[in-house]
Amino acid sequence: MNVDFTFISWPHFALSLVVFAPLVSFLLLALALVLQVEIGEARIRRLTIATSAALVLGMTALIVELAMAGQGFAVDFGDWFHLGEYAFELHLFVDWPAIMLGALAAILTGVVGAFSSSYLHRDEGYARFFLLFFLFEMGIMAIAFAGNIDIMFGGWELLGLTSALLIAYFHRRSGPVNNALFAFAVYRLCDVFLLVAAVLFHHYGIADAFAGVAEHDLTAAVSQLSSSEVLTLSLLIIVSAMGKSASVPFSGWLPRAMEGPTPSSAIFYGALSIHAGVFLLLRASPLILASDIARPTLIVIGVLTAVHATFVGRVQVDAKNTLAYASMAQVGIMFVEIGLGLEVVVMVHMVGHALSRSLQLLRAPSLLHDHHRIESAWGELLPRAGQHYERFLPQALRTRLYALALQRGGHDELLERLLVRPVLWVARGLEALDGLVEGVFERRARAGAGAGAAPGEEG
Amino acid sequence: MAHGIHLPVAEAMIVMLLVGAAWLKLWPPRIDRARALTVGVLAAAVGLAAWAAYWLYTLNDNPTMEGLIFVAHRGTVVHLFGVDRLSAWFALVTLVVSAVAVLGAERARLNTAALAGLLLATAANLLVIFSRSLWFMSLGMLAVAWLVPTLRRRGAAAGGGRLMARTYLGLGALALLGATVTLAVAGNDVWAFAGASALTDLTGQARWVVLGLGVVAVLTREAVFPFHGWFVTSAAEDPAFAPATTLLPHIGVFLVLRVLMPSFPSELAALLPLLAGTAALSALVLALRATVQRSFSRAVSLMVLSQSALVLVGIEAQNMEGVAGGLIAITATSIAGVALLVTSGFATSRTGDPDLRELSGLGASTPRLASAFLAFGLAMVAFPGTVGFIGEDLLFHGAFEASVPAALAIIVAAALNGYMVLFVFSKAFLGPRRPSAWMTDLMPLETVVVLLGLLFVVGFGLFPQPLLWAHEAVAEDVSAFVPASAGHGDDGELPPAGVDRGAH
Repeated sequence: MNVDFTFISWPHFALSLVVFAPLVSFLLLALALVLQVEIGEARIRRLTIATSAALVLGMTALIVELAMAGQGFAVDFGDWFHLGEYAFELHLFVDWPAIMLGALAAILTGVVGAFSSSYLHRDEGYARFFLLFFLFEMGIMAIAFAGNIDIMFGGWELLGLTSALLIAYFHRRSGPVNNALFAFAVYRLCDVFLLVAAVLFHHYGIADAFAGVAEHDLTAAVSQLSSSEVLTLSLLIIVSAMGKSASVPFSGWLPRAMEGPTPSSAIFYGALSIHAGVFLLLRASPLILASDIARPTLIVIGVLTAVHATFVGRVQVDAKNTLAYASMAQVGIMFVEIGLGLEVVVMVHMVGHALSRSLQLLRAPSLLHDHHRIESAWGELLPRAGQHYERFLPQALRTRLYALALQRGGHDELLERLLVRPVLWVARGLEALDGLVEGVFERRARAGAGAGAAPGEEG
Repeated sequence: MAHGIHLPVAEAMIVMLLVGAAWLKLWPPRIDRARALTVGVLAAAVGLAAWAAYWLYTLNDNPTMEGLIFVAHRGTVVHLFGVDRLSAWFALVTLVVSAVAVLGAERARLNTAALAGLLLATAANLLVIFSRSLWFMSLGMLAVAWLVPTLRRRGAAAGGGRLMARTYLGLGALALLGATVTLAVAGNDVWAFAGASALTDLTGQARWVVLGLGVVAVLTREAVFPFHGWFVTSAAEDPAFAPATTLLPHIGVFLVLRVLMPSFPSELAALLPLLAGTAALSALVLALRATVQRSFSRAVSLMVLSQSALVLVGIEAQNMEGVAGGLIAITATSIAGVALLVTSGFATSRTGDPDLRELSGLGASTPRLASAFLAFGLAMVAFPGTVGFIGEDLLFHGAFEASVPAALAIIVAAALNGYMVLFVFSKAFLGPRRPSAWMTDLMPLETVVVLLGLLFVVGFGLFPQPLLWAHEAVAEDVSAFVPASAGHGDDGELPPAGVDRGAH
């Protein structure tokens, strides 16, 4: 790594704490597990506290730096690697959106870490949870402070893998494992689009304009691109964000993800991971807003997602799924806000939503207990939620909508019919073709074996 | 002209392996000693190759180590063997992959005949790598084709895989031999083959015939669609030794860099996009096939094969990024690939390679094996933080410059393979534990091998520059035959920011 340490400034130090402290914690815990060193819950708790402290300290320093600077600034850590003219540059960028996501991540990971310490007490996967937790922390910080799309992609991949492995946390049951695979499949599908976008960013020479000062640099870069190039990049980024943020039609993984432990549900699907797509769109908003096609497309997707999530959320029978769909609806609204150019509104919305939803998800296991406590304090049964728009719909329509909502809009079946089945059909065809060839050799080998011992037989 | 010294480094490595193989054949020791002997011989050869590489990399002007064996040919002295940076690096990869395969092989499945066969096959690969003569290159290819069926581990059922491997690899070897004969008949120098300068008497259609035969040799050896079937079936019969001596050294890529590119620059400039497309299609087809596999070993071998096809796409991109990315991807896919195949071999040998649907919950009894499988799998599919990510990052950029459809195909293939790694891991190691699915975890020696492998894939994944320096030298040597990098319209500096804190 050709990292330059000749000039260590406060921003360098602060960003190192924020981005690399979780990596150090991950490596330490991973090493202990690989070497089978007995590392108890107490040590892991101390490591978590130390990591959280590093994040908070780093974020505080960055906030002060940013306030003093008055505007966003780039921090150059040199090249991660270079070959000839090509270099993967470790450019990080600090501006208010990055601080917002980073601070949110620092606070919420600290809270969830503390919650998890007791929630998962004496659980056999305690160490495994925190191993993935640290990796997730690094991923979200890399996304927040990414100065180019390559680093953004790296953090994106970390988020996807840790999310899938945490959904499969209760791995002794087949349900969580299958749901994790479903989620990972959706992530990988959408990650293809982000990877293509990353390559195109380089191809168009604007990779470092990804996170500019306010919107200057990406706006300036956009002006150098043709309308088709802007549209292509915009659509690629929108599809990538749709996967991570569980937008229609890639929303099927979100309720399945509730199989994971409550702390990971809170932090992934209430707070941070689900907003990664929103943050990506925020960063790429100069591109999207410059396209007359991408912008309304994003708005339409946001509206559809919000409506779909509202309908489907109302027929859920468990708290976590209801909250998941509520998150989905809010993310849909955020998509609309980005499409309308309301970036400050999005940031405020994101922070408020992340904090409140995390609280709700963390309290979800205690929902019934809380309900009974409230009723005890109230002195009588709480009134049931009333009907709303259902009163104005005919019964037949209500029934059909109810059935559609139970089927989650049929998106999973749609994806399976349009995407999965054709792919599997092609794959099975290819397998059958190769099977014919292999069969020929198999028959000849058996015929040869029948005639005598084949060469190379070993006793 | 590059300067050099006369040292029989190449001959020494080949002779070492041959002597080791002969010893195993003539005086077969107990299996533990046989393995120790094999590892010792390979380690000595690795040491020699590493020393040669170090010496060559520290000098400029593409130096060489000429061997001592020579013939008088056309009035000049022709050294039959030599080591330069390209061959030193390929030799290192070949030897390390063989060593990992031996170290990771399960003791109960080892036999001295297979160990001897591995040493012979590795020597044959080195013969191709170090030889200046196309005759010896052809001989090396033929030897591997003959030997690979003998690499079957003890207890493995003899199936069509051996015959298929011998047929396809033999076809490739004969193609190279045919090209050599054609060149020789046309009056070209095939003893001291030195690329374009040796093809003075080859014109017109004959050039295309020789090139075509060379391409067949490359495609069969690299198991590119449609010449891929042999790898899947032979890997199923032996998941470690066969891949380690056939596909993973990437001798086919070596032939492209050493023989085809220098000899047919203008023809290849026209043909390489087609070849890149073929390799990209191969990667995609194989990744698709992996998704419908029920067999653990077949799924893994298809993933490894699909990722290996990406290497050719990079090499054939004809730009610096693609070539360098392809070279690094060789290191990544070879090391991670053999480690993944070895770990899958542990699982299948202990459970009999049942249907993936019957495997479940193995991780409960084999947490170390499960972790190793996941780690090497992620490294092979270029997860960030692993050595594979470095190569694929360069490779994608280079391939995109050369051919957008090919780049898109390999991106989709890589995504599919990434999903399949988690799929196979989840199906085999997670889920409810079935009573029939029980196996012992990694033994101490196996754990050490795994740890060393992890150190490599993660260490160079986080700190890749030393590996890149080594590949840069090789890429520079190769770049003499590729056009200047088209490059991206790229970003050399940070965009004008408000306040650039911390830049220098």
